[in-house]
Amino acid sequence: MDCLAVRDRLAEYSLFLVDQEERGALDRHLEWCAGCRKEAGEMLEGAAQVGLALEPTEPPPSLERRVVDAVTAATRRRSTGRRVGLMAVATVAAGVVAVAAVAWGAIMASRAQQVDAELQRVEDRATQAEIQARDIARRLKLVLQEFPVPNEEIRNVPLGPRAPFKGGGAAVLVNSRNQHWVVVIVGGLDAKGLPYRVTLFSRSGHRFEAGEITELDAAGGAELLGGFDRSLAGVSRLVVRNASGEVVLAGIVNPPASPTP
Amino acid sequence: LVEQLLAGNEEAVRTMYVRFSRPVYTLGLRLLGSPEAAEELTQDVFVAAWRKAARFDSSRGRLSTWLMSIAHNLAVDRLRHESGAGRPSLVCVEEVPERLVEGDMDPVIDRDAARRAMSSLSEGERILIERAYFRGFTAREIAETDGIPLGTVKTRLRTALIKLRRANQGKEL
Repeated sequence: MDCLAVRDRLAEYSLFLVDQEERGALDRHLEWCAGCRKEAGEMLEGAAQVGLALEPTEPPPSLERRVVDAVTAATRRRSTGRRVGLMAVATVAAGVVAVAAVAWGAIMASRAQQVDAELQRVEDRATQAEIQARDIARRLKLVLQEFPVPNEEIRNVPLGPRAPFKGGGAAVLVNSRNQHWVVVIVGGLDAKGLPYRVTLFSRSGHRFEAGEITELDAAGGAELLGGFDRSLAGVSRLVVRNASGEVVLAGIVNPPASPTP
Repeated sequence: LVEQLLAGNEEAVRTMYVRFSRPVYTLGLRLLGSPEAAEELTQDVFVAAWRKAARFDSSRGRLSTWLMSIAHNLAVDRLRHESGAGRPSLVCVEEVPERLVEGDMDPVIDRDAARRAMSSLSEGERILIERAYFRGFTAREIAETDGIPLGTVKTRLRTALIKLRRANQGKEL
């Protein structure tokens, strides 16, 4: 869709009168087009006035407790999810891009033993970036231990920065008969770019939204665990975009490792 | 407040609820037609707001308008889902129980500003916007019903929305 076509539809978009398919197309355009996004924002604000102008009705007193409970329960669920994620991958320090240096292929090929060997090598050299890479490798090892799936169902994605952005990361895609999920670990990202959106693309052009990174640690690191209800078999590319829709990190999905012995 | 909401701070949730539950609940009642559905919508709106809190940008709009957009979107989605239709089939409850509301000033200021904004519309613009917002009529349906060109309806809808936004900000068109 070009800007002309999008602007023709923005009024109805702002009034939620377009169907899901068209809404998706408009959303994709608005992700990267600041001009149309600004106009959409203005129209949404205009539309909101219609609802705000209504004579207010007092909700029942019991609703407050239910709303507060619902939000705090959702917060707890996310925290639990994060703990699972932390158990598997933990937080990642800056310099995640150095993960390439810890021989991804080798890690995936023969799993834990190779990771240990890499850790030892990195330990010997002990530069800051390598220490960070070691952290990532250690956490990846935990991922592999945490989720005992065969090698052939695991693919890795080294993530590199797209100029002018910095940072880096890595992802593990698991696609088995019953499990379709991705763990993404990033580091060195700028908090000004929050929230970061992680998207997977298949060769046939389908997109899979893995979720959003809404907070970063002091070193610009975060992890994200995304689950899907459909196969990730065709996924070939992973992209991390900032709040403005700019591609910050991207990577090609590597083929599966050798079958588990 | 939004940052605290994101952190799941109970007090922040409560504060936000006190400030914004009335317009959200009122919209739910108006669009969905029953107190039960309005309560459910209100709960969903606050949970959705918590989920999307990191994306809220105060430089682009007020918290109240952001929440109302979420509420309208969820209500329309619900109606669309329930009717199985490609577009929403909104119900319009003409008579809703009204009670005077006192206390917190922000919603009152928001409502007064929104009313001023609505009064900036001509009668024709107000009816047009209400048909789209409350009844879910698309531009094409309005054009066919009223026998006017589709382009004219789209232009009028756009003009009305921009007018509402500018009037709300105290700007002249």
